[in-house]
Amino acid sequence: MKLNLKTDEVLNVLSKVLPAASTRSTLPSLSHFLFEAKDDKLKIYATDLEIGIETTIPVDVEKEGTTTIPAKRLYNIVSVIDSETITLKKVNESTYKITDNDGKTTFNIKCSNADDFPKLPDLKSEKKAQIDSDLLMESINKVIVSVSKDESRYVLCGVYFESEGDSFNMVSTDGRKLSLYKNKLKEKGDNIKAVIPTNAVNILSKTLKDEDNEVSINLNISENQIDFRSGNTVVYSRLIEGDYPNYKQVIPEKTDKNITIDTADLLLATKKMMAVSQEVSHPVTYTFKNNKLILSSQSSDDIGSGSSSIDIEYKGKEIEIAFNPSFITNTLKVIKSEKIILGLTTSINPGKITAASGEENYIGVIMPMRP
Amino acid sequence: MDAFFASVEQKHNSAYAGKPVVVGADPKAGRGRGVVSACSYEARKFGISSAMPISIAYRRCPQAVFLPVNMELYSRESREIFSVFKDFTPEVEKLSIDEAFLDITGSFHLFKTPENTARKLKEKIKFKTGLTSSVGLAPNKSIAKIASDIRKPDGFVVVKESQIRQFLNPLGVDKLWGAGKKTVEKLNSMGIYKIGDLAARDHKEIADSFGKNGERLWKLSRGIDKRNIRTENDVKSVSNEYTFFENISGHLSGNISEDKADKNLLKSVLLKLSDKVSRRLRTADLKGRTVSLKIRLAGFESFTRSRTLIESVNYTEDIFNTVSDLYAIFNKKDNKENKKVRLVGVKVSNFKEEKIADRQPQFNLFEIKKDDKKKEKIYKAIDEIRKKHGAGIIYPAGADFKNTKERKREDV
Repeated sequence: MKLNLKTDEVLNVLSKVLPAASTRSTLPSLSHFLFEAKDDKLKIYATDLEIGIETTIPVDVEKEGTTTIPAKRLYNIVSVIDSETITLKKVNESTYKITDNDGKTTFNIKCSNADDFPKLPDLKSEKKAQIDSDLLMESINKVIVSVSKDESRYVLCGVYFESEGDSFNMVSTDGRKLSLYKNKLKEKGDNIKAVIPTNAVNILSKTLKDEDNEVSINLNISENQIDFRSGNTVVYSRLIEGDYPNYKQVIPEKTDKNITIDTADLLLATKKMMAVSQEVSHPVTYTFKNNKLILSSQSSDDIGSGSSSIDIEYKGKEIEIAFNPSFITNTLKVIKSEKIILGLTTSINPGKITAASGEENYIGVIMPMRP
Repeated sequence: MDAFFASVEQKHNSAYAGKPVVVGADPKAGRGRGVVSACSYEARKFGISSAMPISIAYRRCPQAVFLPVNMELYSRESREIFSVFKDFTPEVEKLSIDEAFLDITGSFHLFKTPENTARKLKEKIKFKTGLTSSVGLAPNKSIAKIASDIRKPDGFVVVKESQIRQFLNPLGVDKLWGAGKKTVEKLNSMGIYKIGDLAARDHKEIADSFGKNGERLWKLSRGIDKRNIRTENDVKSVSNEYTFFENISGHLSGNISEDKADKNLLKSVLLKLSDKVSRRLRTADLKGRTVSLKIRLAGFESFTRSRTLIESVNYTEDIFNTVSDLYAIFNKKDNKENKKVRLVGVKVSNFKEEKIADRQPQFNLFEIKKDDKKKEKIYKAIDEIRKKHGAGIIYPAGADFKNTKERKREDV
């Protein structure tokens, strides 16, 4: 194999694929890139067997071939080369040489046989949906905050993607709070239900960030695998097995107490209360009455207490409810609207947070604490 | 207690009184293996000490009385001694078979002063058992322990609040709780030999060299020890174990090639254990957040796999679901060769968090309250039925197998 590569271009592609290379694996080959050079195209692939990233770029292939190269090491080498182009060339069975433009800098890097590397995943698409890539990024950003980190309910440690007809829902919940984002697909697609691991979702949002294309989502049910294809890049992920809970039933349909609050005011007042309670999960009490919201908090170690009040739009029946303040701040962070509507029923039922105008696509649900 | 095992032997056989007595392994005329478990003060004069190889003890004093360990006898004496403790205070922390901390803060007024209380305690032990003890009376555990060790046998050392520094400073640092051989060597290399030397150092310097343990040692050197007495009522975990004895593997042997049958049996044992732990938790009104699975394979390799849940649990299915999950992961990851299992155990621990969680619970979106109420009712009914008709009258259907011999343990 001998390749002539544009340094910036190849560096960009390597940084895209690098997150899939395993950093601590018992299988050494998983910390490598797979390089396949053919027909003036270079395919680069990395996987840790849970997720995989594959991308193809047009390059000048002087001699075709396949090999695996230590991923992090290659990335480090290419990132310090300051010439415009580099040459990657096979020296012998196990060594490749990287040379810059003028041949003043050379590196030798040990490579291994591509036979040891896991095969590229099956690109079979049993179910398919097309989505605008910006929209996919946006929906990920909206819901990622509610993903569970508790592995005892592993099915919640991922983002739930559900599509039907020409619309899709993206959901996450840790059992105490829930985020739902719903929007339209590019066109009518298959019905998909898949729980995508958090790690894959995070990688996806980085990898597809600057693709201005649309993304095709493909479900390979028999392999328990999902992939996201955009431009020349494919991100694969294993799916989380198990039944996602019936999230629709916990989103309050009707709330009789609907309170309009300035987003920035609520965020600031909540942060003030968090200053006195020592733990982030310590409840803050919210009392709504007569166009006023009074927040109060008592520290868990009896060191102190605090209260703060802000003006709101609410003339209904007085209600007092306690929330984990971080649930409020995390939900407010993803709403752009100047005002939000907090929909409540009783102090032990979930609260629903939506934007007061626009952003109809987003719903945040938070469960109260015992006051 | 002073030379406890040896003293008990001397008490039970007057022929040994006043003679060097060594309890431990068989010396086999100097060629025996094993160590000295305990030795009388007469034996110590010959340079014999506990934990010393029995062959060396024999060489130092071949005429000594060498006796095997008779744990049953010592346990009986120990129970007697501990019942004396309980007469003085309920706050008793058992350290070993012959050693305990007693908090007499709440009871010393019965004997007027702490000193008088401690004297009476010592006298009563002597009166009831005929054995001598050494007592250390001090404002905290660490100093009391040092004080009790320092004038053995038949010691009685009182260290008042005002005497702490004066008492501790001249003692070697090895007297401090948790200062092992390595730590002492390192301290010595820093020019610290006496407790006073350590107390004089900047605590940062010690913390930097020894980490957390250093911080603790430094505090102890200054006589600071805030630990409370931990009585046996402070249960830390509830666990049940099941060993597959010969007769039970006989029950298995018909299916020995059938892995699946083994695994089903194991699951049913896990269910039974989960149910047992669950019952004991509910009886004690406890809930724990950490569920552990213990597995010992045929080759005696032991594994413990734990998972901490968001919420405290004490219902059978919550414990069992976690344990069977852990078991599935264990099989996939750690027991690929499918080795035979010799012992399994189920443990629930981490009770402390519950109290905080109890005060400030976070409601859950998916645990529909109706279900919880229903569960509560079911378990209440089960508990009542068991109270009336015995524990064996009702159990989960999957736990239906015979010959169970669990080993019960409450870790304190």
